[in-house]
This record gives sequence, structure tokens and C-alpha cells, in this order.
Amino acid sequence: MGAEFGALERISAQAVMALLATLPPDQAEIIVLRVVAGLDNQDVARIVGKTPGAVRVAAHRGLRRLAATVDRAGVTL
Amino acid sequence: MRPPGASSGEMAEFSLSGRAGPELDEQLLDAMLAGLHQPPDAPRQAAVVAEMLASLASPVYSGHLAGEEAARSAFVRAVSPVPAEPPRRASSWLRGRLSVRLAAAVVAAAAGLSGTVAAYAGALPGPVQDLAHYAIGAPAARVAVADGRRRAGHRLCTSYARAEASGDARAASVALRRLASAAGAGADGRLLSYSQHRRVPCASPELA
Repeated sequence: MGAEFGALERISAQAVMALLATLPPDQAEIIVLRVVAGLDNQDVARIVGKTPGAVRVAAHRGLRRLAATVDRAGVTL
Repeated sequence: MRPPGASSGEMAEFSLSGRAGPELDEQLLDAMLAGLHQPPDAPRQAAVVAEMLASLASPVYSGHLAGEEAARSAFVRAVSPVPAEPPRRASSWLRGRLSVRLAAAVVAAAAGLSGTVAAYAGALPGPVQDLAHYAIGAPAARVAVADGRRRAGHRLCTSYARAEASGDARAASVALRRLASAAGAGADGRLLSYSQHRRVPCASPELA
């Protein structure tokens, strides 16, 4: 059970990354830095060379695209 | 903007329940990024995306491992002169697991879009791919690193790994800062050094 669940966790995390990779690279990168690394807009801005406002806008655009993608794919909770 | 003919009460309902993906408001989106709970009446897609993102938030980055916060702070200091603030990660991130049903749906969606779940390998910037590799077990990026830099990086990596293994958070922070500095002025180099060291890959010949 434990090993099976671990495998499921891993493959589902990879599936989430696959969906993220459908975004424009800058949006995917910013979302990964925010979510996986746990950095805030300011820290991400320093890393990617954008303003915090531009980081926030890019993250929002990416999330909207992601939401539209899961909507089209019919993914539900 | 109120839809034609809608009362103020209807407007409230419209604004919360009628949102389609592209119209998700900024508060909801910020909440997703911050790992905050979505309101019960959040649009279905918002809840799905929030769960997906939560599954990526590794415990490694949630302060569960010894020295993690020190390392994160060192990384932030390395890229910024501004003192690092404590992470604002909400506890809801710690769930970190998709339900079996949602996981299956996400895998199916990813396979349908890209043909294979792992098709994103190489689609993301290398350092980000490495970060994902460390955090969630995604395939590592194949990053070409010059020999000299690789050797220097390996020495710093070893120093960091030793400091971390000894439980000396202060020494680990210093070593990580040196590594980040040595990685060069580019943001990718800093992040690469971070991702390399957070997964302690000193013995890996292609990345060390």
C-alpha cells in the first residue's frame, strides 16, 4: 500500500509538472519557484530579473491558463 | 460589472460561483500561490488547480528537515541583499497529496495533452527542472557545466554536504552562500547551485 501510494504520488506530481510545462516557460518557471521552492514574489523577481509586479502578473496568467486547461480536460475533484 | 438585469444579491452569487477559468480573480490566484484554503464556493477549476499545486509543495520546502530553513534563507540572501523573511507557507500546503481520483484525472489529462506524463522533461528551464527533480522526483535536467566550474562546484557542494550532515546550520548557510556566489551572476546559476545542493548531488558527475 505504501509503495503503491508513493508511486501514485510520484506519477501524479509528474503529471502536474507535465501540465505546468504546457504553459509559456516563464510562467511555468515562476509558478514552480513560488510553489515548489516556496519563494515570494520579491525573491522570484530577483531570480528571474523581473519586477515583483511582473512576477505576480505572470503567475496569475499561468494559473488562469492552467485552470482553463483542467477545465477543458474535464478534471474534477 | 453587473450582468444585465442582475440584482445586487444575484451579483454576489454570480461573482463567486459563475467564474470560469480565465476569470478567476486575483485574490483567488494569490491564495493558490500562497497555499491558502480556497473558499468553499470557489470555482471547480480553482479548487483543482489549488490541489495540484499543493501536491508539488514538497515537505522538503516546508521546514520539516533540519537545516532547511537556514538553507532557504541562505539562498534568498545569496540572491538579495534584503534580509530574508520567514516563509509564508500556509499549513494547508502540508497536505501535499492528491486524492486518488484527482491524481488519476490529472495523469489522464497530462497524458492526453502531451502523450506521456514525463513529456515535460526538457520543456522547463534546466534549473527549474532540477528543483522539481529534487522536490518531487521529476526527471533531472541534463545541464552542461564547464569542467572548471564543475570541479569548483563539487568542492563547494562537498563542503555544504558535510556542514549539513554535521547539523551545523550556520556552516551550511555559509557554504551554500559561497556556492551560490560561485555559481555566477546569472539567475540560472544561482538557482542551479541551490537545486544541486539541496539534493546533495556531490557524487553526480554530470551535475556536481
